[in-house]
Amino acid sequence: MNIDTRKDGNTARIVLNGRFDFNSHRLFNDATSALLSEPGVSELEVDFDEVKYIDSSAMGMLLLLKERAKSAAKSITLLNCKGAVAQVFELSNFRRLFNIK
Amino acid sequence: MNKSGMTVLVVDDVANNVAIAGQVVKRMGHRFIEARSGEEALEKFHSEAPDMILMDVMMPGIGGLEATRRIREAAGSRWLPILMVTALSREDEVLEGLRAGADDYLTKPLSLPVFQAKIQVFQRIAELQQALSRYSDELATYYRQAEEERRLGASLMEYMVNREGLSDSALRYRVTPAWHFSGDLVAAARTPGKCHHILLSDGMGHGLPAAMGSLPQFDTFYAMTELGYGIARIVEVMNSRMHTMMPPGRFSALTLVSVNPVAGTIEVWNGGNPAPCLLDAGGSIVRRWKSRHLPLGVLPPEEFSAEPEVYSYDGACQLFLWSDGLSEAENAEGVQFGDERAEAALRAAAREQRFDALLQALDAHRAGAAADDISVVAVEVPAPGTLTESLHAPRSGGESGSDRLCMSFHFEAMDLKNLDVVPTLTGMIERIDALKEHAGQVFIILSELVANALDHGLLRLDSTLKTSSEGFTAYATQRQKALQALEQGFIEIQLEVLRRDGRKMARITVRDSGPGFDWAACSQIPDNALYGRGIALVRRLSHEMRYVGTGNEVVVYYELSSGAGAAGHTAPHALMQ
Repeated sequence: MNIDTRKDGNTARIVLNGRFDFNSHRLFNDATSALLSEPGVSELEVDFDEVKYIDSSAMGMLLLLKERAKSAAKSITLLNCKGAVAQVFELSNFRRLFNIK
Repeated sequence: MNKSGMTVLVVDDVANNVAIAGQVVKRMGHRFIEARSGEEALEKFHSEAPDMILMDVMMPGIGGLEATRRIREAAGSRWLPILMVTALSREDEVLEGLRAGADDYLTKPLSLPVFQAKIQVFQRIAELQQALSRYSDELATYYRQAEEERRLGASLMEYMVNREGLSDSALRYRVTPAWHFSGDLVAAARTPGKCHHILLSDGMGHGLPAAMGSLPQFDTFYAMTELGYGIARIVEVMNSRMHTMMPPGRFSALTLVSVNPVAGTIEVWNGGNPAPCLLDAGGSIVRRWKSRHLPLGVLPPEEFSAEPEVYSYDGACQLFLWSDGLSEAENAEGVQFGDERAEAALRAAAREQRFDALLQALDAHRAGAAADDISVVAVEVPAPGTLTESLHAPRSGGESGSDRLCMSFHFEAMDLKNLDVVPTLTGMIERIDALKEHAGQVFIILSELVANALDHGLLRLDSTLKTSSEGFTAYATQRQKALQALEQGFIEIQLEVLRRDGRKMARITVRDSGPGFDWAACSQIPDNALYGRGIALVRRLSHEMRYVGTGNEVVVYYELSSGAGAAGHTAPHALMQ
């Protein structure tokens, strides 16, 4: 997976590309940690437009991100979820846990 | 022998002559050995293997001429310059010496500068000779290697070409290569729905390059026929593979035929081959399929037309295909055999003898060796409806792919270490029509099941570690270590497409060699827990999921029917949460 981060004012967008699974852990952790520690950023958006495959460890990473964001007083939004990704979020009740657009 | 390292044998019965010649040899930096008679010269020839001999003609005993004759005979093909020394400059004696096997002569009294110059000349020749024999050795080695590779290539081709599809009783064929390998390729196989697929390909050129150009087509043909694809899809994929794999300008003429005995149709796609013809029982030609397409590999996928021509036939008939090697086979006068002669031979023969009659007519016409590869194929086409017991006969065209599919994979510890199993399988799933729409869902199911089998079944890891980011990293490290240390165990994955309760489903079975695990506990894990989510998710995604035995085997049914891929059909489960 590739991760691209873009900042626009106080919003940071994390654009994922490829297969989001166990192997993406380090990359995802590094990218999000950097943004979480930036005082100027208050909203994090994770963009799934280019993600076709996801597994449960990826969801674990998202839940971890949510907890860390909460303690850093930042918000998380999941963007452009579709196909299998949308279905998985639906089935896992992620709608109750995340703001999904 | 290097430049200054010749061994020169000087043969003379007069000690003084030997000493003088020896001085010259040694001054030039060569090794000097002597013999005082013809007999001794022979002995020294055998024991010292000289590179050059200076031979006096007039000696007691067998004399210089006889010694030269015997040495020459013993030396065989080895190049050994012999320089005769004659007392008189008599023409007949010189001639006799040269006839006995000498390469040149000197007259007495010996002129030392001339002797020296002649040694140099022979040394130059010796060096040339050595280089030549080195090249010749290299050439022989190269030839042996090439022969070896050719044999290997030929047996590989033989293996690939001679599949059981060709031993079909409805098929007769002959491929006559113009060279070691034939650029012509004949293949045949039946789909699960009993459509008989026949391929005739004529690669550009002859020999290995032409044969190699055909190989990718060949595998595609067998794999897709086995899966039940129609020839339009097959030829489309073949063309696109050919177009990407082969360098520009390399292409093959191709005819692809599908005989559907259930529907009573014959489909033909012909790109660049002579027209196949269909003969009815009475011997009339009822249909020809002229080439309507460009050869394979010429057009890019977006310009390519895969549309076959369909013909509905009535009774049993015979279909004949041949490559242009047959049409263009010349007789001694340079007259080509031609399609008309071929058709005439077929029409004139009784039904059972047509194939042989065509070959006989061809062989009678042909001057000798084939100038081009020649292939001839005869296909028996049964009367329509003869195979109605076949349940899975696809409609004409058979575009939808097969309803049944079964793939099994066995991964040993070594494979699990080195191979990213699930993405590898996903790449394949994306290419299977029945599954590709559901690739995302199948990926999750496979990922979770394989991760469980590997992490817990084989590596015995504890997933409760994954409760924090640090834990995640710790888990990843532990997993990596355990995987590196893994020496035994396996995971088996079976992926099937089948019908169950009238619905099309994928059945995914994953089994590992571990002792199993307590799967009952997994259903108790809350939604926001950081572990154990995978199995719960698979359960919700799938139509049915159950463990077998101790939990080291799990079977999942996933519904493939239209609309099932969307969240709709599983939504009730989600609402129940």
